[in-house]
Amino acid sequence: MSAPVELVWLLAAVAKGDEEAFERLYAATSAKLYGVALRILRRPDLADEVLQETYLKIWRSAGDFNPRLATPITWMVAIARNGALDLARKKRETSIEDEPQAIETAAEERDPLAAREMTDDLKRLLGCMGSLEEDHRRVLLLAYYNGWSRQQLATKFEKPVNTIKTWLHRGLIQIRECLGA
Amino acid sequence: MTPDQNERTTLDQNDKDVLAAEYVLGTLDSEDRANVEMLLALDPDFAATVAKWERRLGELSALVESVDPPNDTWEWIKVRIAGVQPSGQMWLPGVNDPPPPPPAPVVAEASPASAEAAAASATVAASATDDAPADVAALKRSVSRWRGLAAVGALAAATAAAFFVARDVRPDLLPANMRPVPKVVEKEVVRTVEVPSPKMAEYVAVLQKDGGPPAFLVTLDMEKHALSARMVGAPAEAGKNYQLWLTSSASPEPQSLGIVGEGEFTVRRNLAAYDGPTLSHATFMISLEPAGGSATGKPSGPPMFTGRLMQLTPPAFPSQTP
Repeated sequence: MSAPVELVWLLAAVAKGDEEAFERLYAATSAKLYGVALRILRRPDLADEVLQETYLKIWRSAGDFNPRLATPITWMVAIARNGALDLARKKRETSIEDEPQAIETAAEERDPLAAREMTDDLKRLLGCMGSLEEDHRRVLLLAYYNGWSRQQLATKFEKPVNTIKTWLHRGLIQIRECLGA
Repeated sequence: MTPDQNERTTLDQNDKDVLAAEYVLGTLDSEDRANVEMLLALDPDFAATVAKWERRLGELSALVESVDPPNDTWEWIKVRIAGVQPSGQMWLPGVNDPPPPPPAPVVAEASPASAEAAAASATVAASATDDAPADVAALKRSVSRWRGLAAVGALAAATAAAFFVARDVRPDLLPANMRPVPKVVEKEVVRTVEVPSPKMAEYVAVLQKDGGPPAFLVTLDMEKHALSARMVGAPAEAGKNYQLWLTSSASPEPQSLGIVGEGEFTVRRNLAAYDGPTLSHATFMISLEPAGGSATGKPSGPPMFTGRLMQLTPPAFPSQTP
């Protein structure tokens, strides 16, 4: 992965229609975005569809990227996740019952907190996550990484949807206060 | 700025904040997502709140395993962006003027001119790390590098334009070593005097190494499907030849367009196999090959010089032009 600052200038070049910069941006970031979409959709064909839409959007709206509000990766990941989430909601709004075991396995098979390169922002966020009650933390992480809806989380945790909603809200507010922004 | 604008912690604001967070997290159903997306389009404050959560939670993506996408995904994306214009220039701190609103403080903390600006500097301050000053310096460097690249690009385009005006309109303006020397290098080659039309070349590719000076120039006459390549800055290599290749979404494998000799125009008129869109989005590359060209039909090594076509003249002149 290129340093954020290189990605900023690639995005600036893309905003001006530089196809070569766009290709380099794709080379530097597509595996991450595909990984994010694949984890949520768990189907290569759907993740591929989202990846294409994501880069089309990046091409069209690179000029909207604001380096003071986002890093290039958080901005691009947000586009990819939104595409994946929209598709996931359309494709399997009620299908968790069809394959609860598959989802369970997908959720547990890999520890997302395995040691990786961590930015200071990530370390701080994970520090805040660590201070949450376990259930609150788990719903946040399962929602972020697997793209699960309140309903899907309720099924998984065998709790009413309103309980899940409360957990989510408490966790999110605590994260916001912990990060202090 | 009034003091009121800093009071962002009303209950309503808190509800909106949690809604923004849940949208970013992805727990809303499709109906709620659609409602949020409508709110995003209508309410800039809410959009800023969503952006903040994207920044906060987006850090988690660093822990997702990267997976290489299918090989043809990029080819599809290239095809799909053809003809789509990006939205325009990005706003970079202290580089270009900001879009209104918010008014852009050159130094964020010095004069927050709106609630958004205050919120933005709060985000910046909150996310400040030990290496933040280095980031800013690196950003400035990258910006000046970008400006430098743009200048090189403009220079190259200007050089190319001047070259073709000179060739097609006033050949006598060329220095002796750049004048066309009609010379047959392949059976398709014709005398260059047959090629020029009254107008300038429409498309030109400046082949460079790493943004360096132009090494080869390639022009294309779309109507005639004729291509002309000219060595302008590459050093002559004894016992070796430069070979021109084309890659495109239609043919990702490099296709040979022949050898480009020193002091020659190499003109190819057998490009009918490639349609206009393919050619105009193609990448041209030069490799250094043994005398006589690559024996395998593929480049022997990585491309030494690369370039893409740029359009020098508008697609059509207004009909009322005299």
